[in-house]
Amino acid sequence: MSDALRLLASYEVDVQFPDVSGFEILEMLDIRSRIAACENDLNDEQRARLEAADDRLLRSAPAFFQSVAAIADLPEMRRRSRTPCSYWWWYLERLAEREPVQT
Amino acid sequence: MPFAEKFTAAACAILALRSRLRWKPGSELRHLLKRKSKEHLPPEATVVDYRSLIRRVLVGPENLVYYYPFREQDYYAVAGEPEGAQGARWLVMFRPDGILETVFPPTDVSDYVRQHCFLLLGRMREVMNE
Repeated sequence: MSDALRLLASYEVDVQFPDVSGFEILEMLDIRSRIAACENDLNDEQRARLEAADDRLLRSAPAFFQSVAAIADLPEMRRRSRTPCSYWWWYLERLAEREPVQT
Repeated sequence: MPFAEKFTAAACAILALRSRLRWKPGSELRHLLKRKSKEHLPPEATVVDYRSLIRRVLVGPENLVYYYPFREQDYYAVAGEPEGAQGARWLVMFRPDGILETVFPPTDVSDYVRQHCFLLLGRMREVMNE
């Protein structure tokens, strides 16, 4: 199994557990960043899986944010690690406030 | 609290956990389910297996003990490779009151603790004076 696929499988599980410790949410966000770094290695089917997992993260953003806010200050973390603004998953506090999109 | 007192607080919490592993209510089974879902533990693993792994991390003399402060709450973590974990390094994270926060093997423990600014207190044998 490639690194990209292993990371994707891990991320798919992570997005199902918004209410475990915020420390695991940080690991999930790290994993999503690693996927972004090797996203070109994913085929179409795997990209669709990634989109589905991202969608689940977005839908549960308030719960994920609640977990992570208990143990970390996301804006401070982004500043410290110079997180690219394209890494939208590190902006949970903003995603948690957005209106759900009707599709 | 001065930094030296963090050693004492960590040691007390580790002793408490060695005597009895305590989780927030309802949290142990949820964590076990996630560990199995992520294939960190085999599908047949039980709460007893999970507890055994945690205890093995909490006694390894060379395991590293970290401190993570956030606002008014302190957290401690022990990083180590328990026997039989097939090379995986696990993090056992807990509060000073001896309540487990989470137990999992990050993709890369060294990266994880560095990136998230955990402070190294020392090796288990140093922190516990054993």
